[in-house]
Amino acid sequence: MRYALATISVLVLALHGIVFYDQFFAKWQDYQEEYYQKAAELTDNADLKKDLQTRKPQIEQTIVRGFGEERVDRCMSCHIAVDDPRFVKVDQPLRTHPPVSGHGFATFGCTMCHDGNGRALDQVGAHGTHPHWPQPLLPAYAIEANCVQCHNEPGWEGAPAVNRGRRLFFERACFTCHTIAGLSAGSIGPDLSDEGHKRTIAFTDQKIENPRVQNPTSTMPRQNLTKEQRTDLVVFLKAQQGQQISRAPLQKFRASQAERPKWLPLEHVVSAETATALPTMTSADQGAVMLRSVGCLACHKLEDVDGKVGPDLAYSAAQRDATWLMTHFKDPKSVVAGSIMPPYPLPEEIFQSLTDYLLVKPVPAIPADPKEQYALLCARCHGEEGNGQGIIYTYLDPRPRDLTKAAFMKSKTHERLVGSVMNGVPGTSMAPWGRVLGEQGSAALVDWVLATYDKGSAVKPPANRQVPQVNLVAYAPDSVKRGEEIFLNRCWGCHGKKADGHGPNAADIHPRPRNLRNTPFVKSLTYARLHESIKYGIQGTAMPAAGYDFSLSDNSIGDLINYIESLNTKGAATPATTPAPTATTEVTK
Amino acid sequence: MKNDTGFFGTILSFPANIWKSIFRNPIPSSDLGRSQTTFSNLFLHIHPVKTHSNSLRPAYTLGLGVMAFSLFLILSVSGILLMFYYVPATTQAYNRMLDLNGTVAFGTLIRNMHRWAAHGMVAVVILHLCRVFYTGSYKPPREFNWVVGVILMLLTLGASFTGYLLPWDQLAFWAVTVGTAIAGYAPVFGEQIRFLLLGDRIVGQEALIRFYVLHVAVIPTLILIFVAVHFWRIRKDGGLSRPADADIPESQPRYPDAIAGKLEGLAPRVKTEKAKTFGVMGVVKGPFNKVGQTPDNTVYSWPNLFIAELFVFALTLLVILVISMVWAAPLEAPANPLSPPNPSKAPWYFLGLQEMVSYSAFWGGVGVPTIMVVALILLPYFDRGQHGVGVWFSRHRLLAVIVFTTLLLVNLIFVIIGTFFRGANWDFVIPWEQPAAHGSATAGH
Repeated sequence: MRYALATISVLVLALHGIVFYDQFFAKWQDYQEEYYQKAAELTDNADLKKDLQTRKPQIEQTIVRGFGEERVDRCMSCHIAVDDPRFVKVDQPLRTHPPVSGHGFATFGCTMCHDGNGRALDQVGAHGTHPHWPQPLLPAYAIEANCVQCHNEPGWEGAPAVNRGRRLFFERACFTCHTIAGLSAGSIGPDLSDEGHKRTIAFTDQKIENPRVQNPTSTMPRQNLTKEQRTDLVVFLKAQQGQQISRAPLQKFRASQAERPKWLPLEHVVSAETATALPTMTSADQGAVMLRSVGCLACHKLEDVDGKVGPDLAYSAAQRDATWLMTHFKDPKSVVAGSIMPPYPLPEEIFQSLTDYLLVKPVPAIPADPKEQYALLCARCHGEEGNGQGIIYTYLDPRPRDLTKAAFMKSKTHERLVGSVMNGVPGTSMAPWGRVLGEQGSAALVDWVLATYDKGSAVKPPANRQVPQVNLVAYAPDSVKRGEEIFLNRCWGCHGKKADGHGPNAADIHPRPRNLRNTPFVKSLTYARLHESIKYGIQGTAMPAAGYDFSLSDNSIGDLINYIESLNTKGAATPATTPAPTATTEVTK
Repeated sequence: MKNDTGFFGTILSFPANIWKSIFRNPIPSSDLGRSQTTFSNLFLHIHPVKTHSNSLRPAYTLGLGVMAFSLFLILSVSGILLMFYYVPATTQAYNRMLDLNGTVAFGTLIRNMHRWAAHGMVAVVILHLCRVFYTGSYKPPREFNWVVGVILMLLTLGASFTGYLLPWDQLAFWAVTVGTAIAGYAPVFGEQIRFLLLGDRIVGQEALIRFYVLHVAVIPTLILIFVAVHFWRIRKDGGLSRPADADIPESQPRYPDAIAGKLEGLAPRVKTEKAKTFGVMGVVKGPFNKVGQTPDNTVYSWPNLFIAELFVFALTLLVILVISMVWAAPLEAPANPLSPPNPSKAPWYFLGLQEMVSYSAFWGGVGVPTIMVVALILLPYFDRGQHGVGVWFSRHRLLAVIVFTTLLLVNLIFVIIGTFFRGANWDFVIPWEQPAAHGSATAGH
């Protein structure tokens, strides 16, 4: 026992030795000794030489006051030769700092420009390269993010990357979702006013490159940016540090009181020449310029530019009218409930010019072959395989229909499928293609889809369905209440307690349960179709036949539909209240 | 001292006088001296003058109790050092953690030691509980000390859990969010208990200061008090438990160490001694109260017990030092209430509960743990048979050992499933078939 105790005691002592050695014989002392030795060799003055040779290492620090919080920069404990012009060619950490006029080290310190942790005395700590230090040493290309903390006049020519990044912030529609105090007022994404203070360059870069790596549920679209563009944007965001250290408290207060601009001066967004030329153009031409300047094509496709997030705009003139477009610009969710398009913080004249442009822009000719039509018009959402997984499908809600699901496709009448192609599906991203394809073209396309993706699968079409054409139950508060009870008993597991399609089971269901608060969609359905879907279920989806599985009577289904209607009364005509008690008809499909 | 008079005598004997004024006894060389050394020293006198040689068998105690107390000492010292730098404010706490890395002298090492010793203490306390169970040491007259031990285990869990929040990183924030949510499942008063703990409806500044006060003041004080009771009761209950036949003189010696003379102060053969006369301090219940011819299987605590205790302490310190120099304590991204990591996991010792909560919120989070704690506390009042005390896995206690082992394994399996086999959305995953985690949010557990 005594020997064991002795052994362990010696080991504990030895470990303490290592710890203390690490702490008290640090690298910076070696660097300083190396410097004094080299400096002594370079000097001719005998007294100075002697002085240098006998000097002991000590912590060198600059205390910076007058720029926000007090900073203690000990960087020169290693980088002791920064102000010694004879060490230009020596390796780091003993290299001379390149000359910077007017930025004396004694006044400004080091971390004000370079970031890093001024107090730390080992390389990892001081350069801030250990995980989670929010401001590690800035690489040379990003130093200007700190220059503009003081040189904060807009467009200062010393910071070209920041200026390019600012331009991109508007061109790529970032401003529509994100707030940067004094620049933009978006509320969909996180506030970026002090992004540079909280995040490293590496984090922001990764976030922009693929928003879903760090947060799998992010709705931020992935942007088509070159490496250089991304770098500019990241440097611009690194410059957003919340409070600018050079601002006086009064200036800060005034800035916080000033109304956030809804819309920046045009010259911030478009180049100066364009800004002067714009007023002389027609409204449609202005729209053409603006469409390419405020980030529409960061998501949408037009001709050869493709953001790979939103629908193709080439056919707008044949699909939408001015009212639809203007309503959509003002509030996209009012027309397409699940849209991720932000409401643009732009004045109405801009919406008008964009609408004019989209309506006069000629619709390109389309090929006659249904296969080529599908590849050109449908595959972007429904996928080349017809499985509903086109390049943009993750951004659409509801997701595009999986055309290979025979059980669904075969249970619908040909007229209904052609109707969906021609008239679109209101409240969703499915646009009306009737004026592009024509009635015969639409039918031919549907035939081609059925023949290509559902071949060989024989599903018995439903027969002898008893569906009332109008609601048997009058729309009244007690009916709505009964309907709500049934809904909270039977439906919320998938459709969610708010009936928004996000119930606890929804994540595992494909296609996803309908959002029953999608007013444009719900309003577009006939009563009979809603009743049929509830009573007999929807084949090829998880929707059960509630009339049988839950033994719901036609009257109960009427209550349920009254409840669904009550969720969608906003901004729509009051629901039909006339009961037609015996209007049951036999529908044979 | 010969020259202890006069001016020079005073000067010469000055150091010796200081020494003698502090330490009453010289290094002992006689049995009387060994007794007096133990008896007259504040820190040593909580030990008995003589210790039963069964208590000194490493294979019997595994040193777990001393190990747990050693970890408590390491935690107290490192914790006090950390308190000099820590600020319990949501705006500063995380930055202080970053400062400990690289800016504060010895900062990383002290934080690592504190973190790993905390995990170690939870593990060692649980192992200590297992040791006491498997050797039947909770049986009369030691029932109450078992209850004190269970309370100490709960306090240890509490100390570890409250400390978990203090770094204010993602790991801390979400582990405590999950942990306090479990408290919210308690019936009737669940929400109130949670509100009392957090001082808010979410984990925020109020929760941080509450957890801090609990962690640095309330719980350590309670632990210290209960540890004192725990130690005191060991002596009052007649020392550590031992087999019923430990004191019966045998022709064959029980303890080879003692026979070979390796234990100081013990005659080479178990022998009976003449009854001794004790002062008032000797009036102790139990086998130590020697009347008549009783077997004496004890050795002097100085040096046998103290060397053993010092050894366990030094070993514990060594292990914690090595671990702390090799592995850094985890520190994740700063707490972000808007971005929960998926999955959010409680600290490992609560992952069994979290796993059970995933089946049933009430039963997993409140019902089962309450039943377990109540069962542990009541155990010595129902299992009162004297068979198998002082023997590991005694055959007389087959049923009790099997039931306890089963429950222990079930808990262990839940902890293992919760720790390694649960991925995003608490889905079952096979850890070695998972792609490497992206980003920093999941790194460094």
